[in-house]
Amino acid sequence: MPCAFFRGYSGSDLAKVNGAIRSVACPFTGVHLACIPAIRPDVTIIHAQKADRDGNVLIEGIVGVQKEAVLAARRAIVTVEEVVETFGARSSNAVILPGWAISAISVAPRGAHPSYAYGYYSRDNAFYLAWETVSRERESFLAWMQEHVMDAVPGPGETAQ
Amino acid sequence: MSYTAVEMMTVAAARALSNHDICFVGIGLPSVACNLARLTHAPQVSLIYESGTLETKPDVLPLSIGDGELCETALTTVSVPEIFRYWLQGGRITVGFLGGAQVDRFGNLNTTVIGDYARPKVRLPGGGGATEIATACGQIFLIMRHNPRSFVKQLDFLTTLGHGRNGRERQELGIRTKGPTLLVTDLCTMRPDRETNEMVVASLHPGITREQVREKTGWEVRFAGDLAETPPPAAEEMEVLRSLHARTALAHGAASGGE
Repeated sequence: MPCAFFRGYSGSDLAKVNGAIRSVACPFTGVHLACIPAIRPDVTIIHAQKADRDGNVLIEGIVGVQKEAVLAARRAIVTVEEVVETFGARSSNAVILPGWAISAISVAPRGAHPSYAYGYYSRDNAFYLAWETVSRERESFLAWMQEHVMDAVPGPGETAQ
Repeated sequence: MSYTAVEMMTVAAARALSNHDICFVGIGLPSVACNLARLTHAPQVSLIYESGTLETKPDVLPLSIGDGELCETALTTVSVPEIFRYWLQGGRITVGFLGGAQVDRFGNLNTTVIGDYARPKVRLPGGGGATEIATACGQIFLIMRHNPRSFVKQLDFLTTLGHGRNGRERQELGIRTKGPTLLVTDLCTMRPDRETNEMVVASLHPGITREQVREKTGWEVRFAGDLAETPPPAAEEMEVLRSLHARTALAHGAASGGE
């Protein structure tokens, strides 16, 4: 879909300052609806719990817009906590992305850190709370990036598919 | 039992929810009040966070809408498009509980910028789902600390519609939900005037004077003819609230605060 429409932004100044918020009249009822353009990323990267040997991915917990973000993109990379032979017993309505909807899978245990992976480990709250101070100044932000991203060594992992 | 102004505010806000409410919960002060209601007089209240957790019963307060605790204790968790399209816009939610950085006399909220939009003094976190919550929920409860920088005559930016800049904008825009029907602060509770929709002081918290409210309000605040005193927190309300904060602090490894 090139756009989404919904009842939104009524009476808000947001539509005055953001050109991407427009409106459309419902062709059936005439109701005035807010309209926003589709986001079409070149690539979406998400983190999920499990991939199986065929490259299908299982997502559990607060699924947010992860499925939508994958399907909106031309290519999708999924990092996972682990690769399993099969997903085993699960609900028929489990959120599963078929392998053919994914470009690449990378095994990244604890890849959600400092956030959590539902069913694997909890969030590093101290890290979150410390970020508030780190992110206040450019210098502390850059020092943090250097230590935790630029100089960081990849953990044990493998790449599948 | 002694209590702080913020505790009084939280208790007064919690009392507004009932067992029949389906409530969309904002993070921060609204989340504390909603969970206090659930843990005291309204055990059947359905709390919904915009991350998609339906009927969640967290044991500790979440740091964000994405906390695993909300999902683990929910009846079910749906996707974000579903929560907004079908549950919120479908008119299933009776109360939206919100806060903001600035509020005006008609209960409109600013959570976007302080200063000019193009050259802001402070860039705020943004409206999130509040603009839709404010029009789709049956009614809106607001909770905010009372000070002149927050309770302003003129918003720098109107992010979330209350009763509009003239008090009548909801009707003019064809919005049928009630909008803000309650504003709870650390000094008082306010409700919209029946004629004008201006938020008017309905009750003063114990020990608070009209003068204190006037000093901390950026517009010429009015008081209801039948101005009441907010009942002070009961011992049980205080015990449950403090133990909720203590559990949360333990779980998060820091003070949970009210923000």
